[in-house]
Amino acid sequence: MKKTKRFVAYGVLAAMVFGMTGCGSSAPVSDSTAQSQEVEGASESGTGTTELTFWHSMDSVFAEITEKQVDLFNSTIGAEKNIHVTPVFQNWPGTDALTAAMSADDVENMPDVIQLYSDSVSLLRDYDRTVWAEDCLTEDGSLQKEDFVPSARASYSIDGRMIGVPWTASALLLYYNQTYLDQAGVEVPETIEEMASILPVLTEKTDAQYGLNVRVNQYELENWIETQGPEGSEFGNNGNGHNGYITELSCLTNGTLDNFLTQWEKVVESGAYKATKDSMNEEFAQGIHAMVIMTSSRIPTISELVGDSFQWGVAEIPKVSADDIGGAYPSGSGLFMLDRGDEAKKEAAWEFVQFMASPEAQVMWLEGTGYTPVNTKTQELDAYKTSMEEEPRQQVAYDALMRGGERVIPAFVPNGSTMDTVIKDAMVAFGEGSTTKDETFQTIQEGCEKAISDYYRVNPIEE
Amino acid sequence: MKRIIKGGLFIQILCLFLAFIMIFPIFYAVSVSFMEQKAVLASPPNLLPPKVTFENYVTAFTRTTLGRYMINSFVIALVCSISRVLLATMCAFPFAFMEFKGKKLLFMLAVSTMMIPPDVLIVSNYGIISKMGLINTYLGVCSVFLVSAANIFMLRQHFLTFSKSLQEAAYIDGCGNIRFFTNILLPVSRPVLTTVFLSSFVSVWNQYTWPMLVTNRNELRTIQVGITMLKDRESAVFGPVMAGVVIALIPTVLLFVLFQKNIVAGMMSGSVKG
Repeated sequence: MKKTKRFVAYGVLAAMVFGMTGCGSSAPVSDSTAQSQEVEGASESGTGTTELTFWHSMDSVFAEITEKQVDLFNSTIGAEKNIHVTPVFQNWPGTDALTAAMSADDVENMPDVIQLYSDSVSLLRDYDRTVWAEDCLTEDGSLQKEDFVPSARASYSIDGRMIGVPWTASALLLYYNQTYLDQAGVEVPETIEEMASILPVLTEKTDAQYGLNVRVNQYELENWIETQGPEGSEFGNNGNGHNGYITELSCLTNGTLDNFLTQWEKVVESGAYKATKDSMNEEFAQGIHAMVIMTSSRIPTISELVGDSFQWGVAEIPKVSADDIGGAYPSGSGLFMLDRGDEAKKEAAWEFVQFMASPEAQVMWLEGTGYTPVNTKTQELDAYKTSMEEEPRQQVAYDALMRGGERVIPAFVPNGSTMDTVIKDAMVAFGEGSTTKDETFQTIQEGCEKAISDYYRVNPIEE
Repeated sequence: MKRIIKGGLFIQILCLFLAFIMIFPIFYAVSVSFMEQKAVLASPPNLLPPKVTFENYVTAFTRTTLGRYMINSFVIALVCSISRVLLATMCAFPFAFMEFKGKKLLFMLAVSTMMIPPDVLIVSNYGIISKMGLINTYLGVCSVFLVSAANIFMLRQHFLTFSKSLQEAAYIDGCGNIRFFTNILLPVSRPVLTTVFLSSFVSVWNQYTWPMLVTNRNELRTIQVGITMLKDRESAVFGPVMAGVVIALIPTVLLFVLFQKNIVAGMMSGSVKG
């Protein structure tokens, strides 16, 4: 009996192993991978195809659209110019493998093009192998600086020169349950003070448990800081790190953090605010929150989750003061090129980057991602117009990005993850009423100053 | 007598309760993998799928090359586990049975590597593997998992419990070190060796950062990386991720079922010295 059992068990294990082999061989390998294997063979036989490696950290539907963009490039411009791009997924935020390769100067295993978020740009700004996009732009090239949404262009510029090319962009928005607002007889708030005043009304007159849910991390705080004043304000010094290095947080001294905390205290005191984040999408869709604040890239998700349950809309985030510039900075990522000692690869990389920022590639983001195209010429495409007609809420994100101009841009913050944790913890404690406004200010000040000094102690600024 | 029965009953209920707590996440993961997205997010939550769907498994296999990733993980885990067992037994043998100068120092050095967090070494390891030209190779992925100080320690402790009289009798009968090692020591240590093999297999199977770092080609990626590709940063799409998790669990669960008795015996061995 024992032997039979063992035999059956071994049989199952063997079947599983062979089954896996079967799955492996029959599983659909992505087009790009399959093409890569074919082209590698072709390259060896001397067809002269330039092979490029593109590292990205896109998952799920974002990865599918990335693959589509790459496939389109390979089958059009790539086929014409003998360039083949292989996309490679890297763990978010995509810097682990890059840091390792940079430390070992492992040129052979570096990417030609890499997707990075703004808080990782510090890695590349002083790196010898960084190919600045500005140096590749030509007057007769297919991509011009003027083509970009101004804030997206400025987001990846240092001293006015583009280090990378914007690829994805989204804006922080206020999502509101219109049905609840109607029931409560209130309007979409334009300032934080207005928002604080309607929160208790919303919980009293509707089924909402909370009037507002948002966890204020560095991303949210930075948006509220930078959108203050008629022309925007600095979060960090030296033009948010775009005209030099951030060595201190300007918001600690220019009054913007204090302004924000003063207004936010009213939200906290409303008693109808949830300061922590659980499943914000689902909770909003289930009517638990009347309003939530999150990135515009979630518009398709919310649309799918809410369905016909209630009416909802999006608006720009409430301003700190009525006379502020408002809007939002472009959160998202850019494409950066690395010099691997091969001129042909550098030229091919620029061809690829130009394509990824082109209207044809950018319009694909509207196929279910909620990203705003960074190339303004995308608006001329029929596909864009159709998408905007189908989902007019996307236009709010575009308008928010345009409002900020070139001054409302993500800061190149040193030691970003530590600073984010400091801000998040301080704001959650403030939001839950366990610390005062002054204590919150002090915690953020001390934590961020320490994070900055720690960073420069290990990475001193080279004169 | 009644008190003993009551005590036993209490222990059994407690064990069942603890077992339920431990098995519940796995049970829920399996359940979610067969649920539609709306059922996953329903309030109150569904413990069982209201309508069974295989869509999540289809997504898991079509969105990524999960089959290929499983083969990669299996090959890497198998090679590393065999290597760990072989090297650990050969290291533990002299530490337990031989007397030589510097033995304690060497043993301390070997064991002290357990105190170094692997993350600290990741960049320097990458540099070495890169210089050896092993990036994007199975050997490069396996390299840092081929030997484990914890396994050496575990086997050395087990070998120390081996009967000295049996060892001496073997030597008196003319048995040499190699024959004693292969014909006597290893066969009687089978439960412990199985435990070392399985714990190594599971540990390597679950590795994420290192395989991710040293492979830049889709066809060399492992199952844990594949599961990451199924998640969605912007929304809570749990179904395909749970389907991926369930698929990734199958080999380890099967191995545990197969070798369950050996594992228990392995864990018990050494508990009573002599």
